[in-house]
Amino acid sequence: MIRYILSRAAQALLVLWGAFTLSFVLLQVMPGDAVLIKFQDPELGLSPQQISDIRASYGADESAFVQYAHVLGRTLAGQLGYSIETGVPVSRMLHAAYPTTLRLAVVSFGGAIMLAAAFATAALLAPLRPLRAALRLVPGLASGIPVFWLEIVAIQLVSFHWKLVPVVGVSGWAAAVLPGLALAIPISAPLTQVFLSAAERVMAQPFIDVLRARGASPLRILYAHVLPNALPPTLTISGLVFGEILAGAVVTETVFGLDGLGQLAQQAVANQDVAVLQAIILISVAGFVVINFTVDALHPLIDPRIRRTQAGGAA
Amino acid sequence: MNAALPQLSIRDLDVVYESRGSAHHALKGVSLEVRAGEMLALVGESGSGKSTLGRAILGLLPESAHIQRGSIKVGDTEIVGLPERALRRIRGARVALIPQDPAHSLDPVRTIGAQLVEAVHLHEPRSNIATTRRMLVGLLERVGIKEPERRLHQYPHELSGGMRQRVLIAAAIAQRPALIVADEPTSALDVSVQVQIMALLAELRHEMGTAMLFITHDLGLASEQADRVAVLQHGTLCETGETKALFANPRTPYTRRLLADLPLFHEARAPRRAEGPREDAIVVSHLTYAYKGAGGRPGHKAVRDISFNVVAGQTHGIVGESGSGKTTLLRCLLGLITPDSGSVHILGENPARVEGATRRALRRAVQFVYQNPHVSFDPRNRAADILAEPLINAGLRDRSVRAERVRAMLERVQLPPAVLERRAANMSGGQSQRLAIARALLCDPKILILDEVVSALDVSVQAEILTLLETLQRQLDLTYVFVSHDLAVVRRIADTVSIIRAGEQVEHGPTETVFSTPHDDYTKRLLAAIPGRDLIRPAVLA
Repeated sequence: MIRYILSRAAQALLVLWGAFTLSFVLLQVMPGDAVLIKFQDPELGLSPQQISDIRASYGADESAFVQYAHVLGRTLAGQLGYSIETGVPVSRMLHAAYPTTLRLAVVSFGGAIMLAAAFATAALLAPLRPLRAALRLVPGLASGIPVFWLEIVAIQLVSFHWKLVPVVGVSGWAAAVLPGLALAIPISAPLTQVFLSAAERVMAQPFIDVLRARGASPLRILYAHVLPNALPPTLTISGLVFGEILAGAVVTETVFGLDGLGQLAQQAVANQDVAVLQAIILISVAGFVVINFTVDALHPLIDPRIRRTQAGGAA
Repeated sequence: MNAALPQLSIRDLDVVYESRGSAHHALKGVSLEVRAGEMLALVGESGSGKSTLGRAILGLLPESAHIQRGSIKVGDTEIVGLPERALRRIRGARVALIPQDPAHSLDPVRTIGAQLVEAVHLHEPRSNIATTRRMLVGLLERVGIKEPERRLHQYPHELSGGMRQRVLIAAAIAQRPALIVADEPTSALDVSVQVQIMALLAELRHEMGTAMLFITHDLGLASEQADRVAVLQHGTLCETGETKALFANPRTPYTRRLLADLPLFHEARAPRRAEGPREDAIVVSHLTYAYKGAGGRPGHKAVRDISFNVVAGQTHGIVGESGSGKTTLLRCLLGLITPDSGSVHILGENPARVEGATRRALRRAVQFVYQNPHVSFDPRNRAADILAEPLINAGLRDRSVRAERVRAMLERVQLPPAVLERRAANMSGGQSQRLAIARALLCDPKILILDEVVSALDVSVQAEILTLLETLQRQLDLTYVFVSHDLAVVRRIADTVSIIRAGEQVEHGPTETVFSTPHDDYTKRLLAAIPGRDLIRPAVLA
């Protein structure tokens, strides 16, 4: 087991390094750099000589290899550097943006799970076959709804018209409620789709009939037997979805005027603020790695049949 | 026994399946009774409606089916028209099901204990868990499970098929039901396990006075186990009677045909004299193969020191139960794995050594037909595509030549040309098996390896396919390796036979000799376990 964890940790480091390197290469290939964008504005009245001096002071005139070695060494030492645009330490910017994103992720993901559970129950246990077939189509349609439209409608109705949840002048968790719930709808769609198709495969198996023949109710069969059997694929897709929201929900943050990771990333791209962008990429990849590891660790807890093989082939 | 109360009485039952406006009468005017302590065998071929009847008794008909007319009484409770809630109290408590396929009839992610406790709690919600578990330990012991405490903590995949079926029986009898519906309870099990399970069911029936409806396609098994037999054909009960009387003197032509199609009724294949000396098509000598264990350590020896040869144009039968090493042996014959020691020669070549053109020629010369053609065909392909594939692979470009060869092959395997447009998923078991044979033959093989090819088929279809295989062998001078767990089938079709147990060849020789004078204990036990042997011993088996 320890060997398994160590090998997974080594893999994770490799993935992080790969993402770091790849993002560095991509940012190098792009024409121009952050210094040029910031200082080449003619209104600043800087001469080409002054600009190249500034670039030299940022190390932007060094060869790509030297820059890469420098940035990698700095990152390994735990220093994320300074934003070229604002001069503020990147770690401080992340610190300011991350709580917003995390709250949004928790509310939207929690909401999505509850929504998916309620909807799947209805779609599987509805009394008539045509009704079930119709309900089965809804998640596919829901995933096609443009997020920004849904959110604007939510603000108009829930906040302005019904005055249920304020969206102006709020902070903390209160600010995450409406955007989170609005985001929960498109997020719940893939969860529901994957769970429903897995659940239908499980329900076609003979053991479900055997349970019915023992007098078990449909609801009991669904929660005690279908759910744990259909969970593994749903868990995998949940990990992907959760990772995506952790990396920042640009559209939602824009619509609701939230200063989360998505906003930060969007500004950093616009300004080619390499240090900020690389930090966001690193933190997002790290989020994915942690989530994937958690998902993989949960699988054997759910399905006893994969426990033995994972323990290192002691069969 | 006849004075006992009927625990199940069905009167004039009509069940109709409806789909898109068209109605199919699955059961028509079925009436029958099962008394306490009695076993009624409900026999019939696939599509006869026997499983529909079982489901109707449990109130578990699919949504597309409904009871049009008639009555089903369990004890004195009318099932027809009972609301779902009331049915749930009856299911499991007064009527229990023993299912067909123990491998998929237990929830794979919950322990045996959790599932058995659940079975009890569904009907006794207030019972104490510790008391229940103690009761279950006793119950598992009763159904012949050793170390019951340990089993309660295990998961289904840690148990053998026979053991899982015992667990399912324990769950079924936990509430001491008045009626048990056993739907093909042993058809997924090895013959020797089948004998044990049927014996256990007989014991429990007598001990608890339970009425049992035994649904089966196996007339031999019904003849040995049941007090009475009901024969179902196309949804109608065509004959019901005391087992001995019914088998001794079947009244309807359908029952007579079902009995005649039993492979047991055919003479064993007489030793055939080859016309002139013929070479061996297959020579296997001292074949041993072990699967590699963890970290490259030598693992479980799948087959040990197996030797046989098959004369060209003859059939070698391989008989073994699950885990006997049959599959490993076949993989060696096909050259998919290289034996650790010993050798395999097919048409003079070693399949694991040949390369290039010789290898391709050998691959075409040895064709494989699987047990379940539904799995080996792409279900969306039409029969025409399935048959064209081997010809395209052989480089036959001309469409009209291909069509002509396909047409000729259909005639050979006795399929109507109309099937060409049909998809594999919409064919009957017999049709798809003919199609699978046709596909194999389109490669112009010398050798066919037939892996349990008739095991999933009804007896009448089984008889047709066996006859077809015999005809094809004569016409095309084919050599067969015929793998089966069914000794009666092997006895009919094979010239020579190997009996394999746990990777060892316990018996080998001409079929006649092995069946009439077996010298190994295991062979003797297998022969004794052929269901229905007593029924016809005077006539056929010496």
